[in-house]
Order: sequence, then structure tokens, then C-alpha cells
Amino acid sequence: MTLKVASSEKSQGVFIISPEGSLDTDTYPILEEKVDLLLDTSPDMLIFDMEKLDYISSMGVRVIAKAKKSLKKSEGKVVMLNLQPQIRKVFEIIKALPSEQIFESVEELDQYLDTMQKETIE
Amino acid sequence: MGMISKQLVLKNAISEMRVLLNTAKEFCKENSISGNVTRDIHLALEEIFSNIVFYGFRDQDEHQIAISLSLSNNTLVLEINDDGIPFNPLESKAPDLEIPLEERETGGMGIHIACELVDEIEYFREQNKNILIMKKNEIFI
Repeated sequence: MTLKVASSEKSQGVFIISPEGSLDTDTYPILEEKVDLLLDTSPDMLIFDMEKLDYISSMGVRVIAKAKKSLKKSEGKVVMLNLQPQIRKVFEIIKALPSEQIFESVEELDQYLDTMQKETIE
Repeated sequence: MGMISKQLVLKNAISEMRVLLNTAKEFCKENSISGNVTRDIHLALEEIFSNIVFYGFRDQDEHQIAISLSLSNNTLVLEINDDGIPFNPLESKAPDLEIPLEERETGGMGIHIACELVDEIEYFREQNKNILIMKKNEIFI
């Protein structure tokens, strides 16, 4: 099984990372490397778009946890989008689905980002 | 119905994972086991096997890990034997699930996931071997 990882800058300091395929014991370094590069830029937010991810193991979860840990120090955020049922199941088992960090779609996330931005301006 | 089963013996190398997971997938397919169950046992086997390879041995020697998949009625039975250090997953320290993911210690998560994905787990230590038996029920739904 393979993993491909695409990333793009959604707005300044906000990055979308889209892993595709299987995030497992074999492939997690591919995502980790990408995440580490982005963490080096001190981003405000990393968005993991899981739409095309169909498998995750604990090693994959660790990459997400590591990103969260790193961004927490700088008051950045990690959110996840479009979790497929089998991915959601793993996060549910380990009780790692806080509602404020999970979004059903890009639209839902955009609404949240808009609100956050307004709060910052005010 | 006779016992349908598949045995394999792997080395304690992470490169053996592919053989294990492909064998498990084929076994499920040949026996018309449902997609959900196939996914669950795939992940459970990945977590258990990687844990044995990464943490099971104190020496650098080559060891054998024996795995059997068998089917009886509506239950899939996975048995994993290794001669590594004694490790009972049922008594291993579970991660603290009440604190945020990023604050947790990293150990124990894979074992917890594996345990939750199957219906029954038994562990024995016999003749210096870890014997782990995991059962998954209702495998055709």
C-alpha cells in the first residue's frame, strides 16, 4: 500500500495537507517529513484533509499527535476534515475526536475560519 | 464444516508486514469475510505485529513469529506466537484517553486499538513464548 501527500497554502500560515492512500507503519515517514517541513515555518494552522485517506494505523495517528503537540506550543491549531468511516473509527477508539477540531467539509471549516478571523479583528 | 486455516511463519522484521497483511487480506477474500471485518483485523494484525518487532526482543538475533488465521463457524481466530520478552497486551498500560491526544505518552496506543478492534483476546505465556489469541465474531456481516 502506498501513501501520497499533497499540501497547499490556503491562506497565509494556513496549510492544507492531503494524505492519500494508507497511512501506516510503512508509510508514515512520508507524511511526517512533509509535516515537519511545514512545522518549521511556524504555521498558524495545519488542516489535515482526510478525504482520500482510507487507512490509518497508530503510527499515522502519532504524526497527527506530534503536529498538535508542536503547534500547541505556538498557539497554532491542527484540524481534520472529511474523515472516512474507517478513519473516524480509529480516532473514536482512542477518543481523539474533539468536536472543535473536526470538520465535515471545507465549507464548514471556512465558516469556522471566518468566525475566528472576525474574533481576532475585534 | 471443516476447519479452514492458514499458517505462516515470519521473521521479526518490519519488512515482513506486507506478507502478513497480504495473506490476511487474501484469506478474508477467499472466505467471503466482510470488508469491515477485513479492515479491522488488518489493522489489529499490523498493530500487534509491529509491536512485537519493535519492542519484543532484547537481542539483535533473528526470531520467528508464527501466525495462524482460522475460521470456525462465524468466528475468525488469529493466533500470534513469538519467543520475545513476556508481554501480555491485556495487562499493558493503556493510554490515558481522558487527556488530549497531544498530551498523551506515545506508548500503548497501537495495542489499545488492536484490542478494541476484536471481540475477544486471550494471552498465555507457555514454554517461553507469548501466545496471543484474538477472535472476531460475525465475520460475514
